[in-house]
Amino acid sequence: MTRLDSREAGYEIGDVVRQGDGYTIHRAQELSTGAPCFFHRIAVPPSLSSTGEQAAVATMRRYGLLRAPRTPRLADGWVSPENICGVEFKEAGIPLGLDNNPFKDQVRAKSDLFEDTLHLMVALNRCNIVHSALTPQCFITGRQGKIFLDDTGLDRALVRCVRSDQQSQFTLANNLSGLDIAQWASVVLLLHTGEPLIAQTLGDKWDAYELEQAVKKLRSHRLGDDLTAFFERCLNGFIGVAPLYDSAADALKAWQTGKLGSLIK
Amino acid sequence: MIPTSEAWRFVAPLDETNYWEDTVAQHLVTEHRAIRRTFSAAVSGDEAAMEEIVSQVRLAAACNPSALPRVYQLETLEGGTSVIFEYIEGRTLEDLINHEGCKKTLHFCRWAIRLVGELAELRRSNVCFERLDATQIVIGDCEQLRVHHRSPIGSPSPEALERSPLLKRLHQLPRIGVYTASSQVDAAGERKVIATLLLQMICASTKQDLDGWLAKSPRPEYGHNGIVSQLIERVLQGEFESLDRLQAELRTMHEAEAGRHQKEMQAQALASAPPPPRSSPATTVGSLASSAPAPTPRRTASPAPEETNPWAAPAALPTANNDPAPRSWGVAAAAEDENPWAAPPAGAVGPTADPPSAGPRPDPISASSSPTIGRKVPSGKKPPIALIGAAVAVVLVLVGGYVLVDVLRSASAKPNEKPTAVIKAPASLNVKAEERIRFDARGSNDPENATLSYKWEVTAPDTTSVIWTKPSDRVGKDTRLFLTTDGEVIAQFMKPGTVTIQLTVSDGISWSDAVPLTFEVTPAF
Repeated sequence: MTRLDSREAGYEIGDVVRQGDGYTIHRAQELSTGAPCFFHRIAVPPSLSSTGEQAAVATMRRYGLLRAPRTPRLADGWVSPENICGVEFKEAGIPLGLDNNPFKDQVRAKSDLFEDTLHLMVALNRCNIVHSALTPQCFITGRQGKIFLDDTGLDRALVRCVRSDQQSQFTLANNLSGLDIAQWASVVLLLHTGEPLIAQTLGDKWDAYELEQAVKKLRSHRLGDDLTAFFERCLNGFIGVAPLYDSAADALKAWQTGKLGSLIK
Repeated sequence: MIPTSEAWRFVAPLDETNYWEDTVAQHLVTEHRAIRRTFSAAVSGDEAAMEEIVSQVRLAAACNPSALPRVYQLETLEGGTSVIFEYIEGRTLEDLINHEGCKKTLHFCRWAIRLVGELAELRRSNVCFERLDATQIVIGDCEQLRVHHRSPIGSPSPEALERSPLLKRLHQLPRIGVYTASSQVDAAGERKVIATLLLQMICASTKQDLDGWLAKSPRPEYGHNGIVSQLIERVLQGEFESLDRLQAELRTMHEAEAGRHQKEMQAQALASAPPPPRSSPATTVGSLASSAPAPTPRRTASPAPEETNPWAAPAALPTANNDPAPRSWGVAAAAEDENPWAAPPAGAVGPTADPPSAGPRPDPISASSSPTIGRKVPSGKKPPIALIGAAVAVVLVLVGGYVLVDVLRSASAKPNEKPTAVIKAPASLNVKAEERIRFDARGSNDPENATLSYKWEVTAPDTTSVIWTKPSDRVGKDTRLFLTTDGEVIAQFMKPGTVTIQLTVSDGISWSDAVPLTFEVTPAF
């Protein structure tokens, strides 16, 4: 039996996958099983108090609850004097974007892609996590063309904790779920239209004609679907017909409780 | 090897078999739960068996499909070999099926379809199942299917063992779970597993005639025309060589059903649109003057069956070819017998609400008995005829004056002339499929020099696909009708064939005549 001096020694750490303000993500391999994983290293300021450390651990525990399929698993985590480390098991793939847009490839039904991304966003919210920075790049296409959640926002949440000595404030308790819903809706819109959404002439971009075309297309994919109605409401919110956050949040709540039909006019 | 006891807290024993012992573990920092499985083969000191276990664990950890539990760590201590698995929370499919209160048949169908997809994905990841039943499927968060790993493993058939030496060898070893990372496991056995599971799910949940129940499903892709039952039957007959083909067939069936349903819905929408005003003997003065209550309008009668039976199939058109159940039309038909379009709402003035009637005139006796114009009056108290005549005269004078003023105004103003659409194109267009072609409509003009907007439309054939792009945009739109204010447009025709497009321009008041352009699109290669 070999005792380990450092928890990091259980992993073979490879190249840097992504780097941000105060955090680094490496590709890694868990040595005992040979499982590929991703190693998150969050730099700790020298003046980190025990409160900040506890806040980081509490935030990490919230991410540990994320159990939905096609989301990263937080397999391991620890706090050392220099770093806060987390190890995620997740799929490697190509981030979504206008270059890698499965909505345009027409390999899979758009309604399925729409539903998949919504499931991933809802899975985060169910763990009381508000991502707060959803972009197409947070999702990836895996080996079989399915969509996985790649970026859960763990790094940014931990960085906020160690710098503010407080737990992440981006939670459902703080009524911020509408933020994710709006961002998710804009991600889906962006991928669905295949055009960058420029806010300068929002009225020109999404006038009644465009909305009608979008809704018509969605309805042709899946008739009478609750999700289509939900998306329609998000679209309405997006173009300013209804208050964005309120209508989208109402729609999501109704969808989760299976009462969306009552919202359809 | 790495000791995991530093990071995990072992909570309680969970399960025990001849081969392994499970314990619930919890990570000290992230607090997510897992299962530690300790193998008795390692305890017995069988080196070969232990190596097999370790190699299988590593294989499972490396392939790691999303519907299976993940393998976190492997621990080999002097006492034995343990592996840390992901613990899956949720209710098993068996629980849901057996639960009396849970009859969400729609969900079962949806899960059945998803299960086929998930298993196909697992097979592509080199994971096959020797046995799978409803106790091993867990419905977790977001109603996603996961495969549970705690159930005991059954034995493969002797024939399968004879056919596959690898399966035979694997069967002799203690295994880490229900799955075996080998593509050589009998595929026919797996098909049977899937078909049995689907049948188990659907039949147990319905406990009634399958086709009869499926016909009531509001979702065409999951229930219409017994699509699932057809599929199961074909699977049981061994029609599909692989799960890929099964999934492809499923997709084809979905699309066909969805297309058929869409046409039905469109036809239904057309049929349910309000009919044009028609002549009817009942829409006359005489019927309004009667004291009988107005019949129920059709719009209020038709939703009734939907309220009583929300699971009813979409109403089919009541034609001779498409019979099955004009149930939801029953009330409407009854209402029609009562002539629901007969009367305008009470209080409406007859001549304005009533279109010019070409039908038979009303009963002269009843009409003459109540000479009022559409308004109910108490019987026995007739309004003075002079007063009515004066009111009619005032209305005529007002209307006549308005028409006169309008005619004078229009005579003095210069009428708007419609613009002219012009497409600049070479005499012989040589267009290849998927090639970007620029069309120029800047030669279009308007006599009043108004700003023009352009409508491009593909008129033939119906099956072609075209992407329109503004010159200033990078990404185009896949639509047959394209509106723009730019004089130029770039088109990309995706399929070869003879294509006709047409341009119409508008000056904001009137549209020009359509200018068609027909050309041949040749294949890209």
